[in-house]
Amino acid sequence: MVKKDTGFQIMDNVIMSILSILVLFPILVLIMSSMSSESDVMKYGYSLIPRQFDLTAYQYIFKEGSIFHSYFITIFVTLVGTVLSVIMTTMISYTLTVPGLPGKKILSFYVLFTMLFSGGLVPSYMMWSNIFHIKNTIYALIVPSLMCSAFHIMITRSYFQNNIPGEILESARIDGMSEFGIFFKIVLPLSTPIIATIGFMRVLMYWNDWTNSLYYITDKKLVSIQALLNNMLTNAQYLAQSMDASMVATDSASVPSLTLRMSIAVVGMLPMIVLYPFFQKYYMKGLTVGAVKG
Amino acid sequence: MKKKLISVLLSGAMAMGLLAGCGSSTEGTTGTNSTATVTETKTSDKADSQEVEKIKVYLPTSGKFDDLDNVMAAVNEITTKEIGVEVEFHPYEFGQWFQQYSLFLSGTEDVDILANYGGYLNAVSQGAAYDLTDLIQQYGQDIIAMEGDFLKSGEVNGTQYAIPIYASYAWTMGILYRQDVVDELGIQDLVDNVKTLEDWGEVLAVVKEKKPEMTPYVRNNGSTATNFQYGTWDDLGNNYGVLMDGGKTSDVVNLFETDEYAKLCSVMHDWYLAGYTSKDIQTQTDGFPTLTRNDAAFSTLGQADFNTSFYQSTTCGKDIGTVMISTPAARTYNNVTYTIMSNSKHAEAAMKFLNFWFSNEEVGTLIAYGIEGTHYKLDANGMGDYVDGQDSASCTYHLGSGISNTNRIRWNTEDPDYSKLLIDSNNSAQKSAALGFAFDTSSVENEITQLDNVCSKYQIGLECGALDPETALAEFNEELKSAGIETVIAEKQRQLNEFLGK
Amino acid sequence: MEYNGAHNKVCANLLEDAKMNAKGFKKFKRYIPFYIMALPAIIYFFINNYIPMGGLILAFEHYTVSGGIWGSQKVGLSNFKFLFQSSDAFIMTRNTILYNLAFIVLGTCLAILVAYFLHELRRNMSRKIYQTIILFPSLLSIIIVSYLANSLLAGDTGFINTQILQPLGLESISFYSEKKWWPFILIFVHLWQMMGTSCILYLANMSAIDPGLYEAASLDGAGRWQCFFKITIPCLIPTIITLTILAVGKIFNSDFGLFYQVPMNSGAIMDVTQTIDTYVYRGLMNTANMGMSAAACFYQSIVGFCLVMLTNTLVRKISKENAMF
Repeated sequence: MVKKDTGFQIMDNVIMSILSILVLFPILVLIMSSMSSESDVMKYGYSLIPRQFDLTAYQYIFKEGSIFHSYFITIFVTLVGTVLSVIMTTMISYTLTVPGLPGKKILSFYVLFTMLFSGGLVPSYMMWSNIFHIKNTIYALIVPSLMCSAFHIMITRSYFQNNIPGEILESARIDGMSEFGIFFKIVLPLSTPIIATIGFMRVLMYWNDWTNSLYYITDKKLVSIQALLNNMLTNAQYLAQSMDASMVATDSASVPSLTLRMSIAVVGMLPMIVLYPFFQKYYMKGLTVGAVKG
Repeated sequence: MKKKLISVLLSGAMAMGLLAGCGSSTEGTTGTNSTATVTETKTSDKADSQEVEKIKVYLPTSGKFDDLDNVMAAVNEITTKEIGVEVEFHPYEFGQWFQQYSLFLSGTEDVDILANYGGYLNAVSQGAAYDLTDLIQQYGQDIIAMEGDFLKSGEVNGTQYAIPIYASYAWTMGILYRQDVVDELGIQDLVDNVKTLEDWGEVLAVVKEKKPEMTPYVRNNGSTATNFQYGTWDDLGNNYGVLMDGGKTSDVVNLFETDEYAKLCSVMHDWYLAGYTSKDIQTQTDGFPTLTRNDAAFSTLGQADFNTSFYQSTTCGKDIGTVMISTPAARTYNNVTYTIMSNSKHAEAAMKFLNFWFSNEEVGTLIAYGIEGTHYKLDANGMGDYVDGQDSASCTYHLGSGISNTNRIRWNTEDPDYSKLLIDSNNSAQKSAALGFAFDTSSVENEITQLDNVCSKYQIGLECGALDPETALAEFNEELKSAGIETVIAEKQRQLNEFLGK
Repeated sequence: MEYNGAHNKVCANLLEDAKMNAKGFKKFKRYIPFYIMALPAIIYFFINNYIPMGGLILAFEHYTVSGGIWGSQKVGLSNFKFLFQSSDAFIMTRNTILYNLAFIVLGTCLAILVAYFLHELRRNMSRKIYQTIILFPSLLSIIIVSYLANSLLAGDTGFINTQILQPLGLESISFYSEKKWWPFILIFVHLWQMMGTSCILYLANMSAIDPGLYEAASLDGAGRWQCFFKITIPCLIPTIITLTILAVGKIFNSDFGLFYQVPMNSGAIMDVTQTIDTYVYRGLMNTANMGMSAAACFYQSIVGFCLVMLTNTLVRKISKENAMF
């Protein structure tokens, strides 16, 4: 038994290593080309070892001090947005698993329908900016994407349905615990894997979001990191591509374009890579099981 | 009832904000709320009394605008006194601009004057452009005096919708090349003998041999723009039906079936086969200036006029020469125009401001370069330059030259005589028969969506030489026909006849 | 599975309970806390999703600024015409559906397999490392991914051609003009980018399976793969169904970046890269007609809606508890 398992572990590691290499390889090209000199890449093509190191692109990004402020904005928005979003998502998902709840079908449909139809950008923009006046406030970065995913509700519901043992809820009810108490003290602690999962997906979403900033923020103090990077990217791309006489000012600063694209990706990616292991501990096997047995 | 609901929802949203525990931004929300009500009352006041009107101008820039507030204060000091208008500029970086332009057009934003890059017809078809025909007569006399006939390039069916900046109208297709490389290789004779695109192949052959690390020919744009974007023909707004030879006649013909187009494609294909172009020319990601700065490209095709060599030399940072393939012709060219939003409450003030801005050198310079001494200085020749210790990156205000044209001092990278040369060039140019014509696509929109799709399948490939015109051009034309190009051409001819009949 | 049973038992108990208290209001009263829990999300969806849905009316009108969303001229179904008139209509519909089916099937299989391999790793450290690595791609925007793909595929500068094929003495491939590679490239890029996030979802569900089930099975002499197919997969079925139904609803949509940016808008391969979204973009890029783009969106939603209803009914017929509503 043990011997067989060792064989499997080796195979498992081999497969995962191959997979990791497949995933890492393009990323490595990305990182290396972000540190190469632009003309080398244009003339000789991409390679894993830069002909000469050149950090112009990074200098360009960090020259603007606002990048650290933007990091802060993004971290704040990501934290607040994720917490709010996870609370709202788990609460409605739990309601959707309550047996015999009158109107449950309608409620499921109500949630699912939001995934299929959307009114488009202009109506949402009009509503948020003209009725709720969220333009140039921190809300603009949090609220419009707070729960835009019925997807997360559906998978959380599915998780609750299959992994929360009914006996526990029942006995808690018999003990006279309130429904809210049951939800916060029993259901949530039993659901760390799914909370970590949707939490992480929300974090990813908030972290990578630049559209809210694009549409609702003009105040430089509130620009998020991805919006800042995306602005740089689209701008550099625009200036690099265009040679239309009237669009580019004769005296516009020369910016690296090819290597800038790559370094922007690296700068945007780094903090998440640092942050991710924090979430990982929730996926560990047996975490929920102990609780079930106890 | 509805109002009540909204206020309930609003307080709900506020409560959610409080939950999040960000006290500082709550302040922001109430702030905006109150200003919203204030503006409402203000506007109703203004309609009655003839006080200072406040207008908002939205435009893109590739420059800097950190110190916008101070510059605007200086601008407003002048404009309030002179025309009783206060302006507020909202500059956007180009990348952002193109993502938000359609939002501005939809009328959701409080915009008075909107810049249009690449045509104002979308603004007209969405009813976003104010009819300026009377306003310009009333308040825009300086613009009329300056632009004359060229003002027509802001018209649709005789109605003035947009104010073009006074740009170079007379241009043609030209070859742009690295003059320094030509000098180095000593092939100026060869270059001087070039009369057609085909002749250029000999130059490319030499460059390919002597400069193996440089791609002899690249596309001018790295985006989806086509290789022959700046042709010798007048494209009448889109390429579906054009006037050949810069609009000498008013017969709308199908460009893709002309011999000239076939010839151009076959030259490109020969170059492609001979290796004068990169194999990736179809999917090139950077434009000529970027490639040139990195010594990776030798020549391209582009828009050429009297100023191209000078201008491109500063853009590319290398010495650039130009060979014009044909004589420049003036045609409808409304790359940068300003429209007044149809829902603007201050259309008159906006027109007054545009007129003032376009004709007053002091304000024009202020808006383009900022305050003298702080954001720019005058050099010995009376041309603009960055103040000591600053450059284009560290300067705090510099919207640049693209936003308006002749109404300012020249920057030291420009030709000192630019204004004079521009006026001469425009006035002496051959004029297209369709100058001032704008094609209204509303009745053929379905055809155009299909044609655009057919074009993205073939056009870049053909015009870059990656596709063999012998076979692909016929296929292309066939698909264009089944997508309805003839309907569009007939409609264009009908509109053009109507336009000329007036 | 066991839990499911347990859960159902509680349902029954609750229901009985409810029946015993038969008086209408009392019955309702016990559900009040649940409605309160759902309330924030209900209100939020109403504001953020349902109110703007009024904008769907744009699909039936010629939008003008003065008319606004409600007052613009109604033009019936003419905005929809351009979607069906084209000779490309068949190609783009076929591509959209086939790619999506491939993504659903291959994506699910791959995610489950990778999640399983991760889950079964004994050393925590290596599991952490692998898991972090496969997540990298989801941190990249599709624009960056398209440049990455370009850095590998480009004819003259691309890594595959300059560093692999040429040193081996093979002829270089111009990927951007040869159709045959693209179905594979697009599927590969999609899986490469999405694997990380969909895999952690299955991993979360796997880690919640009671180890007792495996112990019992191995005592009965079941092998590793038997356990995988007899225990792991069945326990994941509800999640798989949920994810599949949701994906089916999006089957007429496509990731615009993947199909437009990654092939670098190359015309020669359009037969295999054109989807409904890219067609709409290419057609409306120059006219920016709000009515027509709303119409395209509406069309995709309607088809998605019908398909979701259909799949859900099918699922309901087979196993009632796994249906979504």
